[in-house]
Amino acid sequence: MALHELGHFFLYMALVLAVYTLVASSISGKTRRLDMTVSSERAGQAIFVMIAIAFLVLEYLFLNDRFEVYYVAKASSRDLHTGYKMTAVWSSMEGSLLLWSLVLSTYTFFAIRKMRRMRSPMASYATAVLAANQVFFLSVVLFLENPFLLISDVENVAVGFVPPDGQGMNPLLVHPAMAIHPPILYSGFVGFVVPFSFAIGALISKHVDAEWIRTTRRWTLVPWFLLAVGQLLGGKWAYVVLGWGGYWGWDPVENAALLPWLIATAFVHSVMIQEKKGMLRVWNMVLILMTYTLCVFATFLTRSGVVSSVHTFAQSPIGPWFLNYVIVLAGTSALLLYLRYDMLKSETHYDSPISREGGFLLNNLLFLGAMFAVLWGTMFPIISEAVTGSKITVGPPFFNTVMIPLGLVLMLLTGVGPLLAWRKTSTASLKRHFTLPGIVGLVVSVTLIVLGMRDVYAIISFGLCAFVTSTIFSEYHRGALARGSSSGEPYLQALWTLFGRNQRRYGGYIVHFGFVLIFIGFTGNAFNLQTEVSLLKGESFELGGYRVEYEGYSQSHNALTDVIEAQLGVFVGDERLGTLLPEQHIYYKRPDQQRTTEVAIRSTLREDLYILYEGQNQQNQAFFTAYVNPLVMWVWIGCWVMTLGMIVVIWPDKPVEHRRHQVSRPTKRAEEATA
Amino acid sequence: MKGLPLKARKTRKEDGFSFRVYCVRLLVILLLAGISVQSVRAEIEEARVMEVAKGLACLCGDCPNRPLDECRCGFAGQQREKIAKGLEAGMTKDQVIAGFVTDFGERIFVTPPAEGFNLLAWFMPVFGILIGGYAVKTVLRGWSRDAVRSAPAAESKLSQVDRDKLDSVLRERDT
Repeated sequence: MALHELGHFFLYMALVLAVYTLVASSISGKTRRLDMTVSSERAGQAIFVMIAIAFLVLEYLFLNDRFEVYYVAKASSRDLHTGYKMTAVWSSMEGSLLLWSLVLSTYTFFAIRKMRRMRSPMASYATAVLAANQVFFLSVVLFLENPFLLISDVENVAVGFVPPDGQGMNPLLVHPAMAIHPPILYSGFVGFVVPFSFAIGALISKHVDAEWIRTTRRWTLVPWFLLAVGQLLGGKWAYVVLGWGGYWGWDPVENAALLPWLIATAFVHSVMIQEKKGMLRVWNMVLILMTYTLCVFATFLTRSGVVSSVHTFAQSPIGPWFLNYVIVLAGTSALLLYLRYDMLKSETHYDSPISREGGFLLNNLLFLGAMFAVLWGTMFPIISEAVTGSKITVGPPFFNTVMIPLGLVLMLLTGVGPLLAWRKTSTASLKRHFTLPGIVGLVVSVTLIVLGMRDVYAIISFGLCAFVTSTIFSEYHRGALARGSSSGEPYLQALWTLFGRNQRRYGGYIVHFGFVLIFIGFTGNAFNLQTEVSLLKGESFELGGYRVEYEGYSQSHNALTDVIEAQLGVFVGDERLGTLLPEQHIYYKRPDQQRTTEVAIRSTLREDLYILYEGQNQQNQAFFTAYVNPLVMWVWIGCWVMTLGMIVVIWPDKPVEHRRHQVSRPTKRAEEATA
Repeated sequence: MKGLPLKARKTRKEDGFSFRVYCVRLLVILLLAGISVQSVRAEIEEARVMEVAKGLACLCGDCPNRPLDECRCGFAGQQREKIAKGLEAGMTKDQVIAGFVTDFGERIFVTPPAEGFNLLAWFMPVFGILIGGYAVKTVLRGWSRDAVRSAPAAESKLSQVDRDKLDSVLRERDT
């Protein structure tokens, strides 16, 4: 059996197993037959093995330049670096959908292993939903975007034809960030299938109590985090590769990834109300069902060509399939919610809008409002064309106008929300918690005005960032003092113990702090500088306090590209800070002689000096575009801080006995206070 | 001249009016003024070009619909030159924009023009949030009603001070 046939075989096996898992787990949910349950669990896990083998076969075909396979010839070439041959597997439609299936089967594998402990009807139906999703994606891979087809299956060439070389990977994708961005982003997108499946399983089995929420908490946090990191990695790639000086352009595909993340963020907050108070049960169902549906909708936008974007995949027939799939997901979710609505009604324990519950509701309103604004702006060109017949552009200024005020209010809420008490927050408590942070925020804003800053949004934003940061640090301080006084631990030890005692809360604060840093980076955009210059050797230009001198260029040649590298001396006053080496790469083997730019960036905590080499004319006059982008590094630092916070949040809990021992004193104090 | 006392030098300058020096000075001043005027005029021209460009979108297909004043691609550069030529030829800002609309249609605007059907682009997000706000208000009002109905006696067992204490302890434990 030829290798590509082996790939086919394992994919078909996976599809058969997925169909079997769907049927068997549905029967198991209905009849509670143990043999069916066990059988469907095994089949569900075996799907992962089948797809993993198929994926490895495809990797092997890429690594061994098997250009008789159409997809390998399209996406790889002999002179591509081995590492990039491996990542080229997901650089185009067919392989990326196979990667999607692999990630889905990995989640399915681990979700089934987790659910084996429960063996409840909800778990059986959740397994059925996971399998149904797998059936859809495997069908798309096998029948529409098959990566194992031979060239002779696709093009009019003789059977057995093997081209001497492949077309090669799109040069823009030859970058480390692009190698890891798709798997991480897909892990975020696909990961929401697990809470979605639990929710549908709970609705079908009528077990809509707290079980599904408890089970899904970590399964929601992980994809939420991966989706955030995936988007930031995509931003990093755009920043260093696309060369337009920014990392976020409100492009439809970027927006598509943002939509489910916004709803998921609303969910990870509002789910706390359900866990603590048993409220918002319908609402949380709506949010999680919407999140996964939006993930599939985002995939539809990215891969159907319905919106024009710099990131979209090539035109493909899969658009209608995905649109129908979105309709099925949304329709099924709505129907089940309608049928189980009465079961989802909850008791109410609430006193005042100035409470944690009120804060979460406002949080949800703003996240949903932001999602709606982004969705509306993204889809408006299509809506406008359908209604008026003329296409409209909705560019970055629209999104900035709408989203910046929303973002600022959300930042305010990030500081206020965690300090509100459940049910009702007294005026005294508000004063106690917010006086100092309020003063800090105000002082920062006033200082910036005195120093000459005039951008209103930037002044508010920096003030809010200072406010939120001081609320976070005062919470740690207050927590450590309380812990120290109740346990007698020294301050630093008490601070450390806080993380062990309440990982979710204190890890959550670290995540919030990461977002503050990211927000500081975003605010820096208000002060970006840019210029275009043409220089002869020895000439220089000035931008944002830097003097940049063109010192010449060098040329080199390798198996893939001709590289022209400009040498630029960077000075502040008379002090030389270093040399920047922006490059132009010419992919001479490609029929279109595609050119890419390798941006040179001098990054500091204060700002990035970002220079793009545009080439030169016959008089040796070199052309450059230069930017000074303040505070960009804080976006990447914020991403790392957020990662640290998420590790704390999802770290496995300590054993119950130990925790019980640790919380005994505060509990006792609470009892005393109640008495 | 080196050996002459300062006063003598001064006297000599006052006495010896040099027409040639005067002309050179005048020429330099006029030249500098001319360059300065030119430079200010160029800046004003560029500012006018950028004012028009910032409302128009780059439609090259490779940039994410960035405004023409920010985008640095070749297409954006050509369009900025086109704006500059139009303004130099004495066209008004509106006439230049109208020319672009004729060439590219309404999609040349970087944001939807605030007129006709396109007003919806701007109003809907605000409208959506207002509707959402009303929904939140209704939910909170419903909660208040339900809470009063379901637990009328649950109030007032604790003083406000005790409740604050309890809240702070509970916050220690919860998330």
